[in-house]
Order: sequence, then structure tokens, then C-alpha cells
Amino acid sequence: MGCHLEKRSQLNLRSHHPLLEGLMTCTNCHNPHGSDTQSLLAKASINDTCTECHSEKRGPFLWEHEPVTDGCTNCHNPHGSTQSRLLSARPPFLCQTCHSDAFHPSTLYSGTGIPPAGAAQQMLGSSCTNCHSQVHGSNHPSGSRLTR
Amino acid sequence: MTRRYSHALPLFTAVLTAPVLAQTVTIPENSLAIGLGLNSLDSYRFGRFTGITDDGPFAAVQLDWRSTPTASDAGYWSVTGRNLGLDTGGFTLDYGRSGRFRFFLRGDQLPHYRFEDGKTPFRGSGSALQTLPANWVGANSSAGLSTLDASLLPMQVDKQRQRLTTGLTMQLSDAWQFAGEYRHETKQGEETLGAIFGSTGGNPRGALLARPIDFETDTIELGLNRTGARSQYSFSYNAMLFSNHDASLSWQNPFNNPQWPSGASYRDGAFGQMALEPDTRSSQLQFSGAHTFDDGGRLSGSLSTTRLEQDDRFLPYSSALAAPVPLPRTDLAGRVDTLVASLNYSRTLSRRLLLRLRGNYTDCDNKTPQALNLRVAGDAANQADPLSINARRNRLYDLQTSRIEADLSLRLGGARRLAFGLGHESKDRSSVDVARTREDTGYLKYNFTAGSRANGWLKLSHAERDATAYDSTIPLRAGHNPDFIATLIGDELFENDPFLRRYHLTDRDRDELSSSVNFFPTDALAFSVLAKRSADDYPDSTVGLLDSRRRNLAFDLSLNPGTGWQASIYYALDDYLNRQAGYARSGGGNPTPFYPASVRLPGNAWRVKSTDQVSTTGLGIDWDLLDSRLQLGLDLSDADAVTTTESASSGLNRAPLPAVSTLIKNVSLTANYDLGSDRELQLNYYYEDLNSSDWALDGVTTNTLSNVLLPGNSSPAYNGHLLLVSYVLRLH
Repeated sequence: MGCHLEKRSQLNLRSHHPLLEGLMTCTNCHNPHGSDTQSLLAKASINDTCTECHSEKRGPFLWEHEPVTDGCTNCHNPHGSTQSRLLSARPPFLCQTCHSDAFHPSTLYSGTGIPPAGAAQQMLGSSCTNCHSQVHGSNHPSGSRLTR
Repeated sequence: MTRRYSHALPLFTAVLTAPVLAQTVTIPENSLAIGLGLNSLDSYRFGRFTGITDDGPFAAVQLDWRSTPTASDAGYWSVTGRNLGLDTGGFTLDYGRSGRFRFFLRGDQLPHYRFEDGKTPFRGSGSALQTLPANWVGANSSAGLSTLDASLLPMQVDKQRQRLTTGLTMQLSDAWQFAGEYRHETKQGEETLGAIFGSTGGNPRGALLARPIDFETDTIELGLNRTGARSQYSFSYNAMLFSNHDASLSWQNPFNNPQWPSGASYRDGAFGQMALEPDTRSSQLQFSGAHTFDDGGRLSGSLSTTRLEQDDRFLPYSSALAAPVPLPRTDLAGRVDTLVASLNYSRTLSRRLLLRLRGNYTDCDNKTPQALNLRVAGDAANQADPLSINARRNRLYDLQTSRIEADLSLRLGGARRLAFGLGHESKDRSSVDVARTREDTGYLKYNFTAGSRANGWLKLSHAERDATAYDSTIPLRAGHNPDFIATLIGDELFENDPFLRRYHLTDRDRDELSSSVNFFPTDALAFSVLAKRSADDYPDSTVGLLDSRRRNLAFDLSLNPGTGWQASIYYALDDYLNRQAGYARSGGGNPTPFYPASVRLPGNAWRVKSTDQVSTTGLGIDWDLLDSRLQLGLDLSDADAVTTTESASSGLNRAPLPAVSTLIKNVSLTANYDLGSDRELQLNYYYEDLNSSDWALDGVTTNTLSNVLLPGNSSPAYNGHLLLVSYVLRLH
């Protein structure tokens, strides 16, 4: 941590892996002695490193979510985040950087969608994942929209 | 002699949340520590990683017992236990003979408590089958669920991970070594999951449930290594089996709707069903090696092949209604093969010049069979027609990545060094908007040392990613019936705004400037500064992420006068900014098309700017008193994070959003007092004050949303105290 001071700040954010609590260490994910990956990861890729502990998200699923297959860090910051679940930005805005289909995906969400002005199901509770809850992939035959 | 524990008592782990990380708790080797503690607060959040979630007393034991090394016996053993009696408890057994073999058995636990203040009308919350009370009154929206309030029960969400690991290493000969490890992990508890049932006009009805978590993962790693004077190589086999004991989640539909087919509403006793994570298995073979040549050059590389498979039996299209057309397959027969190859070479070209070359190739080949599924949207809809948008073919995402890098490091006079590097990465993808991206990177780094009083570095890097033609019709074509695609024209061929550029696929310019300097003005004083600025720009984006900015600034000051005390203080300021753009396409039954650009309405365009501002301050002091019989440590920290979101549009209705904030202050105090006669008394105190606000949670109740029942949990706010007193006895 002496050389990676910005990581120390991230580990203090509300959403973080339990490194400061002593239940994980940097070497759970990184190999400081050398690795074939750019971030000295302990495994061959970002996803291989993450699914070492989050094996349920590994798939393959019938309906895959392409950014997940591409790399977990497309949506998550593993060192810490101001948002829940280590998300790199706040939903629904994070989701809308990739999804802008007609109707609700392209809607501008603002203070009109929260009480007392309103109650948008894309903003309150778990935001987009209130409905699209299988965001890491679905194995349901009717789950192509990651809702099943 | 003492040994530093990173997994100390839970209070100690809380101590570690203090920003001054230099302070860790030490316990003596060969000792038994019995601790009695008191927690002031009944809170999941306060104890989310310690497991101490109930107010009142608690106890914890820790043990360190090990053999005494002797010159005549190479054997050794040790038994350690930490946090015994608590959710974070663990142990390690170690037995071996130096230079011959080592055997170990280790148990670890990791709790994660999320929230306990949720409410749900479902009976069996946290299980795979969740029902409503007998007097439930169904309605078309949450406002009409007249028995909801009277039906609510507490809903909590937490998980516990337990892992047992055993391993053996054996020195087979002077050159050959065997290493084997087996891990068995269970994860049990609950997690939130949105369970959706039916819809009207695109508005689904559902509930956020506590789903069951009951996972098992078994992992085995076997390796044979050869170590020679100049060459090292190894063969290894790795297998992982993941099992989910709940294949599905079923819940009773709380809603009635006149538009739904008969059999789909609450009044019909309908249940919805979701598929939970399938069982998977993977196996990997790997060879890696390295050789040092006569000229000092070193060549290393690895080759691995991995197969990932999944064939869980599919659930039916709908659990509520009959689907006339059967499933195309009974299971996925999913298979993904991955090949990874890497080659590295480094050589000292001269006394001053070092060259490093690296190459990496990854081929992720999804060999899963494709099929056309006639989906049922929600459980309350008729099955899709094969020539409709709801007839879906599973997309296969293949990914091939090639990367080469070269670094040259030049040693200058006066302990200065200049490094320069170039890299190129190419990614080929299938079934997505962009078939290939290429990225070129370069950096320049200067390291310096000014005697024994200062050192530091400055680094400048730049990267440019270029995408081949961005074709937004590819995902639609890849995921639907070709006969249906043939019926589409113009705007209908896009399942996304054609002007959207997904940020991980489109062109990107990335610049980063960072520097760190360490000063040591006296032997007792050290001062460090880190400054970092990075910028990502997406020049082709008119919809989607436009740019991101990151700024980090950190100061550290530590003082160690060598007179029985030392202190450190730090401050960090971090700014994160994202700007994105959108275009609202909505309204009526025939909304204005996205495409072509000439038909777009300027007033429907919007922008959002999201900013995170984080400041972290910490102070730590350690004292050594009474001829080292008393050791005191004090840590104070303050971490404030505020997220603001601003929107802009000339024609769309909008209103400001309140900030989302988390303010955490904590204090930790530790005291170790040597009682003499191999006894020690330890005292630990931890205080945390947390205040947070979140517009997605605050003031939101179970039925705030008209179509989705929420737990209604609120953002945490509390202050809690934790006190632990431990009696430590040396073992002989």
C-alpha cells in the first residue's frame, strides 16, 4: 500500500473487498513476483481471478451478458467504489452507457423519478436489476433479457 | 518473539479499518489468548465483515502453538487458531520436515452481512419456494395490495463463506517437487434478486426477493515442478467443480391483471420461476518454463488449455402457462475452450541497458450449440411466434486477444533510470457491434534517487484504441431468427440506438500522468506525495460514455524519533468524473425513430455528469511505555465520499437529484500490557460513526413502486462501540 496510495483510498470506500478488515490480502488476486497479465494478476485473466471466489458467475450460461464475458472490470472496480457492489458508476446511468433502446433504456432519469416527484422502477431499490436481475447471465429458456 | 497476524480477532480486524495501516495487532508465538468483548450495537452493517452483528457480550479465542526448532531435528509443526468462536474463525495445522515435505490443513470463514431491515410479504424468504399468506389480496399494482402492510415479515440478507484447504508439497529429488492442494468451499445465505412476473405495456410486475445461496465449490490443483541450475519448468492440472443446490427460485405471483391469460394471476394460484446459477465444471492443463542463457538472457513462457462445461437441465419456458412449442434442447451442453500462451524474454544488453519483451495470446472459443428459443416474457404471456422479436437465439461470444509489449530501461548516472515501453493489443470478438479493436500504448518513466534523502518517479503514458467499423445491427442479427431478421427494414434492424458507442468496444484515447516523491529530511521524518491524473476520451461517441476523468492526490507524513513513540498522518483526495449522453426515444405507439440522424429531435438529447469526490484523512500514533511493558496504539480516520449527478436536456422533463453520500469516522485504541510471568493483557476498543444517504433507498417503502415490491431497507446510519479485553498466556 505504500506505493499504491490511490488504492488505499479506494479500499476505504463504502463498497470494498475486506482487505482492511484482514480477511483478504493483495496476493489473493495479484502475484507481486510476476505474472503474464498486465496487472500482475494471480490467474490468467481478470475473469479467471474473479471467478476463483465468485465461481457461480463463471457460466457458461444460455444467455450471456457480453461485457461480463469480456471482463468483470467493465462494470466493477475491484479495489473499491462509492456505489454498491463495487460498481464503477451508479445505475441506471452505468447501464445506459451501453443500453439505449426505445422507451425505458433511453429515458433520461433524474429527480423526477424519485419521491416525492415520482417513483421510477429503474431508479429505486436495485435500479435496472429490479427486473434485469440475472445481469451475469441466465440459464432460463425465456431469459434472453436477463430477467429470468 | 512475536508474530504479526493479519487475521487477528474480529476487533482487531475492525482496528484495521482505521486508515493507519501500520498498526497491526501482535500476539506472541506459543500463546493462548482468551478474549471477552462487548458490542454496543445491533447492526448488520457495523458487523458486516466481523460477524459481530448482535449487541452484547462475545468471546473469542486465539491460539499459536508450535514446535521449537533444533539443530538436530528438521521436523516442525504448528497449530494456530484465530477468532475461534466467531463467524470469522479459522485455524491452520502445519506439519513438515525442512527440505522433505510439508502438509497443511487450513480452515477459513468470511461472513458478509448486507442488511437486516428489509420487509417482505413472502413466506419462506431466503428459500427456493416463496409463498404469500392465505389472506393475500391480489391487485394490478402495489397500491391495491390491501393486505400487504399486515403481511410484512422481516427480511435480512447475509452470506457466510467457509473454506477448507489442504495441501502437500514433497521434494521428490534434488530437482523435482510435487505440490498438491484441495479446497472445498461452501457459501450459504441469501442475496437479493428481482423476480419478475408478467407485464402490461412493457411494465413488469415483480418483487425483490431474498433468494437462497447454497453453493459448493471443489478445487484441486496438482503440479510437478523441476528446478535446475538454469531451467525451471512445471506441469500442472487444475479442476474446479461448482454446484448450486437450488436450481430454481419459485414464488407466488402477488399481482392480478385482467390482460394476462387465465392461469397467470394470483387469483389463479400462479407461480413464477427463475433459473439460478447452473452447476459448472472446468479443467485446465498448463505447462510453464523458464531458461537462463549464457549471455544472461532469460526466456520464460507458459501454455495452458482450459475447458469449461455446463449441462444443467433447462426449466420449462413458463411455470404458469403451457408452451405449445417444446424446448429445442433439454440442456445447454455449454462448452468454452480457452487457450492461453505467453512468452517473455529479458536480457541485460549492457551495463546500463535492460530489454524486456512480452507476448500473450488468448483464444476463448465458445463451442456451445445454438438454438432458437420461443421465449415467454415473464410467466404471464403467450409463447413467442418464431417470426417475432421474442424468438431468440443464444449468442456465442468468442474472444481472441493478442498482445505484445517491449520495454527498454536505461540506467543513467546518479541512481537515475529512464524506462520506455511500447505495446500493441488486438481483440477479435464475435456477435457484438465491433469485430476487432486494436490498441497501441506507450509510456515513459523516469526514476530518480537523490542520495538517501529523496527518491521518486514520474510516468507519462498514452494509449489509443481503434475499432473496426461499428455495426449496431450485428447483435440483433446474431441473436434472432434469420427469417425474422429478413422481415425488418431500416430502423427496425437496431436493438440499440445506432449512434451509441459502447465504451469497451469503441475508439478510446487514454492519457495518464502520475508522479510520486518520497522525502527523508532526517532519519526520523519521512514525507511522501502521490499525484495522478488520467483521462479517457471516446471521440466517436455521441450517445454513451463521452469521457472519464480520474484525479488522485495523497500525502503521507511519518515521524519516528526513536524515543518510544512514532506517528503518521495521511490525507488523500480523489475525484472521479463520468460524462455520458443519451437520446430519449419514447412516447406513444409510434415513437420518433432513432435512425437516420435527420429525423432525431434535438430536444430529446440528454447528458448526465456523475462526479465522485472522496477525501480520506488518517492519524496513527504508537507508544512504547514503561520499558516496553506497555504498548499503546491509537488510530483515527475520516473517509467522506459524495456522489453527485447532474442532468441536462433542452426538451426533456427533469429535476435535480440529491447527492449520495457516505461519511465514516472511526477510532481504534489498542493497549498491550506485560503482566510478567509469561502473561499479557490486551485491550482493544473500536468506535465507528457512519452516516449515509441514498436516494434509491431512503424513504422508499415496500410499495413505493407501483409494479415492484421492494424490501424498503434504508441506507445505513449508526455509531457503534466494540470493546475487547484478552488475557494472553504463553505456552511452553
